[in-house]
Amino acid sequence: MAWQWFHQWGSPRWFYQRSGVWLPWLGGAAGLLLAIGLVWGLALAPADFKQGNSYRIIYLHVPASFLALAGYYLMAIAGAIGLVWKIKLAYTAMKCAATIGAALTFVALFTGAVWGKPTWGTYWVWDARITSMLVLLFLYFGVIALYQAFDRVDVANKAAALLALVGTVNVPIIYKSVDWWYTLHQPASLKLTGESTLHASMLQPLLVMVVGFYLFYAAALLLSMRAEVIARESGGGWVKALAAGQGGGQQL
Amino acid sequence: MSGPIDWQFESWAAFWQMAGHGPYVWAAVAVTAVVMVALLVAPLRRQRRLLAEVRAEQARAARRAAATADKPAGGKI
Amino acid sequence: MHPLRKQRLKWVVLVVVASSIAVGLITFALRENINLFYTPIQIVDGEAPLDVRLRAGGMVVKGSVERADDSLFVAFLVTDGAETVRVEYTGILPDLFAEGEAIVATGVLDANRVLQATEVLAKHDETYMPPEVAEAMGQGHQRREANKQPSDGSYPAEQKEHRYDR
Repeated sequence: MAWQWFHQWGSPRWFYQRSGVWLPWLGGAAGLLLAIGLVWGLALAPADFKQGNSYRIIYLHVPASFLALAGYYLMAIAGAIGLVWKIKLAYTAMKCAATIGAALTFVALFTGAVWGKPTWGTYWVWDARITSMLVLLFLYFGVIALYQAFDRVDVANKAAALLALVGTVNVPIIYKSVDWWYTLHQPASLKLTGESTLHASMLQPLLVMVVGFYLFYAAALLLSMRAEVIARESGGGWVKALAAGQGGGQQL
Repeated sequence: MSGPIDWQFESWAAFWQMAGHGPYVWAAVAVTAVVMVALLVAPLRRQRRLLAEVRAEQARAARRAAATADKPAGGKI
Repeated sequence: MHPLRKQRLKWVVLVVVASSIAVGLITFALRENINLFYTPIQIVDGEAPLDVRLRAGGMVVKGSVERADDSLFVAFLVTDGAETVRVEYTGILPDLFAEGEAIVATGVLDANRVLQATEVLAKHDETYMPPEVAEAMGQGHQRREANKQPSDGSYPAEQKEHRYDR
């Protein structure tokens, strides 16, 4: 049954070995797509008829925002799996996703600010979209802080998972804020359903960047989880063997 | 008239300036790049440090074992 | 599934549902406060308070922009398609400020319901296209001036629906 596959993830050693096989492919594909998307978006895609070149920030802002939101769901689902099935690796994923999510949320806010100045005329405005995005950053910080606050890892795991789950309500609010309320932020250009309001010549590099960011996210999450697994299992025989085998300072 | 897939800038200088929007665009690129590189480098460095600690611990344990093994030959009561 | 796990899963679902309902009720109660700006119809209807700092948003009516020769003073009308409000402002306008474009102005409504603005921000929409395409579609700036729309302050119904009538 599928449960066999599911429970494999309970083995840190199995995870470490498998992820070591996936990482070069993920990293290579992510690097390639990000390089193509960036050159395409910054130098090859046409300027916008109203915004000129400042719109090019979209190629960073939109993918970072997507991953900030999707990463929150990943973190919350990992927390739920940890709570229900008591799989330690799920908690590891949640903890690592919190750091990456916070970083990408910061990127989304920063790129939004430097895009806002030349277009709207301000770096910041307290509208529903931007404020709910700031709340997302604080939710990520909250999960990170709970790990700092508790000495006992099992208590920290549960508390962080609960906060992550409670915070999920914010994600659809962020997504729909521009439709539900009057905001300065414009509605989405890329839609899950319906046609995009970006011209095709501008949309294509954006899609490349979005896929590149997803792959980057996966690679960053795996790298971070591998380090966390080693920290947790440092007394284990397989980690000792790994450390001894890497006496020459080899990575990975 | 330029097609949708031509180089949009005449020169490197024009590319950096982006008709006045350069500082905003490049600030966004720089901050994003720094954050993304940090997200990859930080766990790699942490892993290297952790494994070095494990190795150091193993070396200490080996020295202790060697020391206790030497003692009987020296002056055991 | 193991009964214990099923039990824990129920708790997880309960936490998510309960917190969503709680936050949903709070945002519903605060929905008016969450709006960044008042629309002209709200201001004309007296929903917006006088002598309090607030924001007004809408589209700059074509042909309504008056600029002073000797200062940065500018006055214009904003509309939501139903009503218009006059905005007076002294200062630098954002690059994207233009007739027919949306703005959000911060200021105080005086007794005549004129917004004495201290900040004017441009609000752009979610469409992006190359200038050539915009020109071909008749949406370029120059083109727009050429085939002027009726200057009664109305703007395309499709656009209005998109931006304000939600």
